[in-house]
Amino acid sequence: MPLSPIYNDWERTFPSETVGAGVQPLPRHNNELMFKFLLQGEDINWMAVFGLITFVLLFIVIVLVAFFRDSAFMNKMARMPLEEDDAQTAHVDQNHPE
Amino acid sequence: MAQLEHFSYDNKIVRSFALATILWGVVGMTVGLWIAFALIFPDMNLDTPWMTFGRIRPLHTNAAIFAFVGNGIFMGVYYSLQRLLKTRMFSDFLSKLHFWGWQLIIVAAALTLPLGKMGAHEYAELEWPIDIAIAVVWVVFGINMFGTILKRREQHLYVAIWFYIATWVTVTMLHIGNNLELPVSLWKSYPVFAGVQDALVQWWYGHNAVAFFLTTPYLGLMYYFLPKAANRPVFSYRLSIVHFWALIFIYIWAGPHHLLYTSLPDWAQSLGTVFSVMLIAPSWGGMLNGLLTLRGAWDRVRQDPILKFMVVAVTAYGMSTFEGPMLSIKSVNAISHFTDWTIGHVHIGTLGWNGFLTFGILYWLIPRLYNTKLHSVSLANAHFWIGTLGILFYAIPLYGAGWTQALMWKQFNPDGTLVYPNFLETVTQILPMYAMRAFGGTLYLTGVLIMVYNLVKTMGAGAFIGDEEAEAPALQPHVAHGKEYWHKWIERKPVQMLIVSLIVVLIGGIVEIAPMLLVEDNVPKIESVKPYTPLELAGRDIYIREGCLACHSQMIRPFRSETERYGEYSKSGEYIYDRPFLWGSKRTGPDLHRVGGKYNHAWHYNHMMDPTSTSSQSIMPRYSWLHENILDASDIPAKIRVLQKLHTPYPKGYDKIALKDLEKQAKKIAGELREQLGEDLDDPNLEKREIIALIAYLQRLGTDLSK
Repeated sequence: MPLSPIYNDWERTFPSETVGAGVQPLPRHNNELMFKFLLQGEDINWMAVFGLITFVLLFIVIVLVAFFRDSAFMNKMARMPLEEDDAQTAHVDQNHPE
Repeated sequence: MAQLEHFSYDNKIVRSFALATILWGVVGMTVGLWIAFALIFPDMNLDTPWMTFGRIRPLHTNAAIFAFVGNGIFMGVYYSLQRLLKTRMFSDFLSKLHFWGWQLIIVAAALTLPLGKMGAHEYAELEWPIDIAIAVVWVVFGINMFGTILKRREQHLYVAIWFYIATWVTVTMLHIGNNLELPVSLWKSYPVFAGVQDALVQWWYGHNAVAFFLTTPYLGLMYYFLPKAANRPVFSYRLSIVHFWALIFIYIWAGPHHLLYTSLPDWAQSLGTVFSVMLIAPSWGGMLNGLLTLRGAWDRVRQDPILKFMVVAVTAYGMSTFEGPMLSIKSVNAISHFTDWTIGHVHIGTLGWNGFLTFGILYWLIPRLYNTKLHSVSLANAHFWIGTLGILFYAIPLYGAGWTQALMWKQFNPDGTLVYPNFLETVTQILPMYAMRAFGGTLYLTGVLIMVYNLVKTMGAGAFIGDEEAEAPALQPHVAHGKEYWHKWIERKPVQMLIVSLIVVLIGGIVEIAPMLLVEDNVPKIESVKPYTPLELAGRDIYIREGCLACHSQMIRPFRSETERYGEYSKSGEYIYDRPFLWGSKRTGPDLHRVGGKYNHAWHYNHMMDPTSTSSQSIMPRYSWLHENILDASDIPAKIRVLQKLHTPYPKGYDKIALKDLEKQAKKIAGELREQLGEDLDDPNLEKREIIALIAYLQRLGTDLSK
């Protein structure tokens, strides 16, 4: 059982060596503390490059697919919302202002 | 030719969601209007915790997003899905379970948020039991939707249904990812992630709540209801294919643009910016596809209020999806972030895009459900113009307020000092704009009330058709004619569509989250940063309960204008014990990350009792109950144990002695407070009050670096 720490003696409860054990503590006022520089040595740029390349590939494939499809099928799909059979309420359209 | 089959559409569930949309729309907007006025008249909190801005603001956002827009989504999905697939919903029971489950969740939110039983993740403030209920009801919706798709009579899935599928799978992923938390008690939990990691996960969720709850399902509704209302096929089905895949791929990456210039890794910020700017292309592709659907029907827009609503909705979508990428450019974000510009931006989207599209659908749908015509076209037109003016009066003053704030925050004298060192000056300057915003909100709500009257009269005049008779040929086995592209194949394979959609959205999520996990072991530890004391922890949870982060940030960006005003810029290592992170997204009041030690205890005590006593003209409400409430510290041992499980380095067995430490620190602060306030303070139970815990937390903020 540890000694009961008090609010202004927090160092006794959490001596520096127990905080961030195994990690070299960094100085308090240093630009290296900026998180933005944290992963500079970690070679993770491939992730961003992978993301962009994946998108470009997906985009090219989708554009090719979309613009080489037969027009009849496209027109059929485009008209799908207009081809419903709601016989009971179809006349409501007539009640809308024209 | 296959034999015709006779069946009926379930209109009862559509009506239920439509009525819920109207009801919660009125509630959510009324709450929003209330807090808009509360920013001008702080007394509108009525000196009660339940009506205070910090607690009511999440009620407004949750009601607007999940109650109003959520029910609007389900209304449109349940109507269009049945008709596009030519079948009744898979299960009437699941439909009802979905409806009542969702309404119960909304009621639970409406009760718990004003009571302060909430977390600090924006748009995900609800506590863990409600999170679980949301997951269950969402799965019920998914089963019902996919069951319906599987028993369809139409071979191919229309593009609207792709958007519904992507919405369902992505929201599932986001909801689970952002609500990984360990319960402390029934209404308290701590998130698994801390500090920077928590911020990244939250804004991955937060941005995509906009993307996949406010946008993709509504795009599906646009692709169905706009052609119906205009009686024209969608302008380009080819474009809709490109729109769909490009949009869902790109959207998921954009979250980091909420964290520009913060402690997030620089590369992740840049990635968020790049994909946000790219987002213009698919967004505007969809917008143009919607507007051009009206080709040849523009003459009808003059007379038909339904088309008017839809045209403005799609235009507002275009405006906000242009503005969003612009705000994601770092140099623009440096000005806009934390200001009212962001609030104006999101309300163009919600009031214009979501609100107006919902109104257009309601005006189109209710007469059909009741087999009658709209009660008054004139009133619908009046609603349109009043609502449009409401949006303008809402947004334009907030743009002005945002620019004013940013310019005043950053203005320096020739000698290098701030022109407006007192933050309050920048608040009082924009109060007239807040008043105009409240006027705009009043106009918008007035229009909605006119709509309610109009629709109620319409319902009264018609006869509701609960089960609408329909007929369609049975689904025929697919026979391939020659070569078939894979996309044509996937359009009739809903499960495969779901899997591919999930993969597409996962790519962005993984690339953003994997580095975050790498970072887990690499956040630079600052030797002087220690876990919170039990009393500070209790104070921090009061800070969360009162929703202080709705107005105060805890993130000093590395700008001279901010370091001059607040002190040393914020370091990621300072947040490693912050569960949840409390960076905030708006500064109606000043940043608090370095407020510790800036004022004495007496200043905080008086300020929380009556903010105008220390800051004349302050618009912060009084928090006098903190001076009366006895701190309930009974859950402190449980909190310590949960935080230990999450690797906060409290010593083993510390939960057993934490309360003693809490009392010691409380007595010390109460003693110092009595010395500072002298005879003015006559409270024998001072050390037991909640205000003492809050003061302990505020005095700790940002002081670790100087220890």
